Amino acid sequence: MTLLKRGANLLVKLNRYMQKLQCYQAIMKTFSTLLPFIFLGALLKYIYQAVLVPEGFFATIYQVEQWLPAYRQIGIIFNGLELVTVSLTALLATLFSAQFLAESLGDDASLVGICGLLVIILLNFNYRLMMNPSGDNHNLLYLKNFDFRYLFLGLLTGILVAYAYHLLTKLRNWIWPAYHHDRSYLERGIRGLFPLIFILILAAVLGYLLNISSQKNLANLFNRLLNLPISNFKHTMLFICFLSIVNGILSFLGFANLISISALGINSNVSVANINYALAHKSVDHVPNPITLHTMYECYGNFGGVGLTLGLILAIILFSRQRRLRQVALLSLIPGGLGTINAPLMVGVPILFNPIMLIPFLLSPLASMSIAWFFINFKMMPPAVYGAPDSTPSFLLGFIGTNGNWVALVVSFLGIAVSTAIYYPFLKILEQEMIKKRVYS
Amino acid sequence: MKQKGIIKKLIGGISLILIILGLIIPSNNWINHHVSSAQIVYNSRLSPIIFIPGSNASVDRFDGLFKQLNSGAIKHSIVKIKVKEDEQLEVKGKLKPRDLQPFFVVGFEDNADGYSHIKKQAKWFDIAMTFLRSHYYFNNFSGVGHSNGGLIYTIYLENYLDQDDLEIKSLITIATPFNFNESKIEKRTQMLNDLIKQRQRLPKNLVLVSIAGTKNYTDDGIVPSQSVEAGKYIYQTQIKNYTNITVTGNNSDHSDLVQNPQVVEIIQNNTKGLIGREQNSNFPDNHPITKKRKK
Repeated sequence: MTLLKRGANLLVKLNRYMQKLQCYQAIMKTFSTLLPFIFLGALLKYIYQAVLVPEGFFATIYQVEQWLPAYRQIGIIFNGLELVTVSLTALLATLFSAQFLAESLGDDASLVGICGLLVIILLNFNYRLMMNPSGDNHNLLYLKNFDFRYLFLGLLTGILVAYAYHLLTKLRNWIWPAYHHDRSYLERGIRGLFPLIFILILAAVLGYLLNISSQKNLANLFNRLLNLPISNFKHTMLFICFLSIVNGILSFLGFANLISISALGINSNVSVANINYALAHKSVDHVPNPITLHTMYECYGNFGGVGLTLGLILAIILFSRQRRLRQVALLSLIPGGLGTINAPLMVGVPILFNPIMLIPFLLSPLASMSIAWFFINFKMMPPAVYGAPDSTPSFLLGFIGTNGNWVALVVSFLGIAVSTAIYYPFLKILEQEMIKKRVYS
Repeated sequence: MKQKGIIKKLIGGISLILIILGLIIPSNNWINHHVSSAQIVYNSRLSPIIFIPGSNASVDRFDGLFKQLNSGAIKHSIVKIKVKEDEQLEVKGKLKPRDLQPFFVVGFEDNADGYSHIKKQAKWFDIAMTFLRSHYYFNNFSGVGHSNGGLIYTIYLENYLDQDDLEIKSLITIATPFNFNESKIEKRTQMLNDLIKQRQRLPKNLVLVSIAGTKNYTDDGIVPSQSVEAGKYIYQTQIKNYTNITVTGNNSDHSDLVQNPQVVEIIQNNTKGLIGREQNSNFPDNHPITKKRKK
């Protein structure tokens, strides 16, 4: 008991320490600015994927295309809205994190913010269009390089730019001391020029170097770095747990869904062999590969998104009295409860960079997968073999994948319940911290 | 005040259960419907062509034929299996993902001629089939047997094939001596008698094409055309369709027949609908429960 208490104290201390950091504060401020856009974007994205794409879950099982007038037109409008709100997350994150950090460092905030924005654009700029105008890349920028998956990259760029600007300003002040009384807008512009030039030229050169590298831009570079070798992947429970933890840590740091789980999951050779077997034998029992990344992680370790955040949503709705948390949970109920888009929760609670939330975030998928493994290994239920439509509610993947096996449904709910129980104590610590913060500030 | 809270919670709980049921029931119907339709479609999916070479020939016997069959846009993967005398299997080649009509060749370490050897080889072929089925999960196939390979097929069909489990759609025998080297049809060998005796066990839906080659008016250099024709005593009236074709001209020697352009054409025609079919057919890519998920 004392050990547990000591652990909780440690988490609280770590949390308080981090909250004192300037860059942490800047990130949190960025989150609060981005939050409405992320809420809206996640909701629109889920509705678009599930209802307005013919292959989506609701579109499939309720055959929305048949009875909804102007189905395609509505879909196109939603797609545009969703793209604009979701795809610019990393871009905006750079702008705001640079701006807020500059503010607390005492620099020219809006100038630094714009500088950060330009830097992230330069780093993802498509120079190859100029090198080879007749090539097949006609976009100077790819919107998809700025979506929620690259949030960390945006934040990192913003913070680095703000610190670089701060250092260069100091250097400039040392070379040309400022006239403190001169606050004219011309002076502001001229004095900003020096650090700006350095940072932008550096970013442009880096961007060019990235372009001629094999990864082509910054987002791609990170994407490739984090892509695990798929070919020699063994479908053993231990490795699946390891992959789950890695994916959890990456998400915790702001790299959402960067590991292409679906390529390893339902689309992998072992899963295809499972489907072939099940169709040939007209039964999902005794398939050749019962334990795969799909049957374990995708179907039982990913309810509501990475970190089994559906458990957290339920824990908040059932047990929390904090108005703010309850609002976040209710707002992310559709994208993060039915779908697996947990961005609102990651930014709203927040889970990102929050040491209190890290443990349950990594632990609850493991717990839920272990339960499923137990049931599958001892033949109490078959593994999920068949593919479900895109955007199927995560807690139905096991049920649909086994051609409607009720045990699979019960095990899914059991996994969610266990995860809720795991999140509960950490939620209480978080709540206490929130109350204390409000009292002292 | 407290009562109001309870009512609110009650309404919340009931609506949650209704929503979840509204998701579960239609998705259950959907998956049941689609799995049964997928099972039907699956029957026409992976459908290999399984080749058996003749006596004294190795698993590489059909390489020339494969080159011709694979010269088009669609490349079929080739898997060669050699059954050793101790019933161990030597497997070469790999099935490409999403190849719906791979070529499997089954050869034997002991590939000697003679009825007793051929009976053994038929048993070994069954072992190879069990292996192939457990690795690639197909429930129908087409066969091509060259020379004695056609005899092995006939013995296999009469003695080993489990028709409830596995369907042979078509069989092409090339210069298969159903009466060995006997050119007089009145003189039936022991083997032909055995094969005729058990002919009612042959699958009723089989389509068989028996190809004979002739250099002169009597044989292809090795096998007498009467011996090839003797196949009618086994197959005719027992199966859905029995066709006997005689090929003459260039490349109609016993061994060259396999590369004969007319024979290649016959193989292509008889496995039609499968060979030359788009590999990425409507199934499985577009079928909801097996399609590739987009990232």
